[in-house]
Amino acid sequence: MRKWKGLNKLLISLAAIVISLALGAILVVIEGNNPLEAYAILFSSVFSNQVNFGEAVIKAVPIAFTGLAVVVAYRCGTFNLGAEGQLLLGAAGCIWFATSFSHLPVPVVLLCCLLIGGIAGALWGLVPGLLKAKYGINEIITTILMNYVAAYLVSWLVNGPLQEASGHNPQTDAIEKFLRLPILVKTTRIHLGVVLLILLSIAIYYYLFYTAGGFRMRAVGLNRDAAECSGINIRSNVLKAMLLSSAIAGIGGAIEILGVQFRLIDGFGSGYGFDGVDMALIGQLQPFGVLFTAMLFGILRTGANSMQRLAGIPASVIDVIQALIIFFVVSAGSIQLIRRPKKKTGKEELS
Amino acid sequence: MSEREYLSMEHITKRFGDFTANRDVTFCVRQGEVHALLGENGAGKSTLMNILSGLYQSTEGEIYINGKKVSIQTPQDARALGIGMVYQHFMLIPAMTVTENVMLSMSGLGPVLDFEATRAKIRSLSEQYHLEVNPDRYVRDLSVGEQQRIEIIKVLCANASILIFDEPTAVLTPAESEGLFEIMRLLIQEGHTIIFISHKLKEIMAICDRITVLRGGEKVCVVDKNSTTVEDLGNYMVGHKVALDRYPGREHQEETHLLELEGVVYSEQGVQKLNIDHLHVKAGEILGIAGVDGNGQSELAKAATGLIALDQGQIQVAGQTVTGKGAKAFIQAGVTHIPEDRNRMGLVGSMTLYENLVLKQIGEAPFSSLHGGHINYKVLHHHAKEMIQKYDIRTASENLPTSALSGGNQQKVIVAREMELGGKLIVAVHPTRGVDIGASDYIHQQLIAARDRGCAVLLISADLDEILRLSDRMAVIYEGQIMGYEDPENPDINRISLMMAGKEGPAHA
Repeated sequence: MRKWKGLNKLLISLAAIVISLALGAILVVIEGNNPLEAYAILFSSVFSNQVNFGEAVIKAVPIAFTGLAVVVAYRCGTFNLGAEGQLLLGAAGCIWFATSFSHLPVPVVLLCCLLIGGIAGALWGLVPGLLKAKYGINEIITTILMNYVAAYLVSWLVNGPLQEASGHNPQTDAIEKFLRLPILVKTTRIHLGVVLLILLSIAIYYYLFYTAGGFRMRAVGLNRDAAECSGINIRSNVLKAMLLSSAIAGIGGAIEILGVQFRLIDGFGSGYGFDGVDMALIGQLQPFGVLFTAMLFGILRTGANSMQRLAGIPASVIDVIQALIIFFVVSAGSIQLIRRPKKKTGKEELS
Repeated sequence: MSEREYLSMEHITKRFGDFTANRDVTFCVRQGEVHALLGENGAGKSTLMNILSGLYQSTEGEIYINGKKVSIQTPQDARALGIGMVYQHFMLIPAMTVTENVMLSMSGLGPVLDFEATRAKIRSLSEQYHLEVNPDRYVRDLSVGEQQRIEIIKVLCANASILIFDEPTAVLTPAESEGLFEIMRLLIQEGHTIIFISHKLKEIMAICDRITVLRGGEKVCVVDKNSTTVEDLGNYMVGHKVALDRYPGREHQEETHLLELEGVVYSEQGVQKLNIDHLHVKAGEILGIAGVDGNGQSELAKAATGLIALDQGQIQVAGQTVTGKGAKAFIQAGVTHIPEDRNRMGLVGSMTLYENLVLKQIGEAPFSSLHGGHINYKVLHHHAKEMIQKYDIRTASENLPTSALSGGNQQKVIVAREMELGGKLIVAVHPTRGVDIGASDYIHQQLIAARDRGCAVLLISADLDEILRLSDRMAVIYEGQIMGYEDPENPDINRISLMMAGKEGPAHA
């Protein structure tokens, strides 16, 4: 049954992707182009060119991190819309350490950067987490608001205390070359962070489905009252999920700095948080589903740039397709709910 | 039906799937009377009234008003026929004024709103019925009693002649209730007809002319207030059939108190829900708590399982003081719980059977190793198969989510989980509510077997028969207080009825 259900969900996501690509094709036709040709360019440009494929992977990494963050929180019944702010704080913590302590041994600096990224992200998630756990304040609102605070905080940092030595641009100094994550595939920008991402996904999967802690967290997410009656502490689980979730986003921010950006620029990270929500939902709240979805969007976005260059079709078609996919995935879930209404099992519900 | 019947619902049957909420119910109301619809939760009162107000359509049966057959398909139909419902949960928008709220419920408003006309109407209705409602105040600033009076105005503005009050005093203080009764008397004087849904016997005797009693979806009787008593009504409501097939009582007496409540007080939003001087359950006995639903049973169960924080008082489980330590500490001290609402509190519906069976033990060997660091799914499946056998859970597989099981089998899953914990105290709340007879007998046998093993069982049930059949001792709860004890083997049903109605004061047992 579990396997069957999993397959069912996979089919929903795949069907949503296919239908959305088909609807996207209509847009391409309206633009006066041949959709088959457009999609052919899109996919072939990514798969026939190592550099482009590498770019697709690079694009997938940060949204996979925020996606995983959303999954962890959501499994505990908490909606973390603040992954963007947490990622930003993680990036800021990382750049601060990497630029201030570059004299320490490289592995130490890298480990500390990831650690501090995670802690900075978690601290940013601690505020909405505590508000939710202690006072029941809606985390959807607080996490979004914390994004703005994070954006302005980082803006101040890169214009003030962390601004590059030359003081020209709103950005930090770049980290030393030897601190950058090693490249895994020559001629591409695919870096060690990809491996860390995959390892982290495995760890999250294991935690959620193979440990008692993850089990309890899911129980809280699925039925708070029953969990409470079973002696599971709701507040501590909500807080734990929020901290874990925001730490994941923070680590994502650190890895993005160490692997791709090398410096923190004003405006970095914009959109990653909401992309993460999309990755989580299209990935059916499965860690590996998120990896798959993020990779798909990495490919679509990279390919769309080629499509725009070579066929003159606006790359924003992909944004429309992303919106359509999420629309279909979410409504498929609702339609299932409608088709199988909650069974009325007792008189008590009818009195 | 006699000509004097103003409204008559005849032979109403309502089914939801295989469940019959109303079976061949005939309910008639005369013009200008207050007619009570009495019954316990689940007796079918609300279903019947929802049919009258157009929210549900009856499966069988007909409705007549003034002798004319009518068809009520929607709430609009009901409103057009002059039927208005004063809901228990108010349908008001706090951020709007009284006038705005009243206008929301009015039909036939033009594109330009005439606030002044509505305001004037509210003022005149308010004066006529002593409702004391200021049309310009915001609903958020009003007391519960005032909000209820706005609901009444809404119904009157729709020109209702039959007003249905759905347990109106449930949210009111005694003084406010008295005020409401005054308003109801005025309404009657002005020619309105009132249907009063309640399970509070005293109030019914205070305000109503006639009473129709429902039980288990069927009509028990219609009685005149003047020819009945509170005791009779209690009997009609809970059913006076004394269980014949009582389970044999416990054989060996033990004196250890496995559960002890001392001076327990608990309030919610200023309303006292629980006030128990002393209550204990001994090892090897079943203490039954009878009472009309909503008299503190839920709170008692939650107090005994650590789910609520008490205002005052101490709770001991097996000699250990666990007051205020939370559900986990209670479980560790040996409390097991068959909760009142299995779907909400007992099971995680979308999780599988094998997961639900270990909801409380997932972190322990053999279900997981490394202190909860690795779940042994093989053991979980094996355990589930064993439980399915042992507790006769009817399911296609242990891999099904528990939401796919029938109510009886869901309850068996909970019973299996809780019994396997091997606790010292079982808190069972309505353990067989909405469960078929086979499963119900099985659950009873499990409770008896647990008692014979030396467990203490606190059995809370609105089903008096269940209490009488199972209990070694029984008490009656009313408004959060233990009114007294009865011998379940030779019960004085009249005395039980009196205590359930709050007519016999707290005992000093």
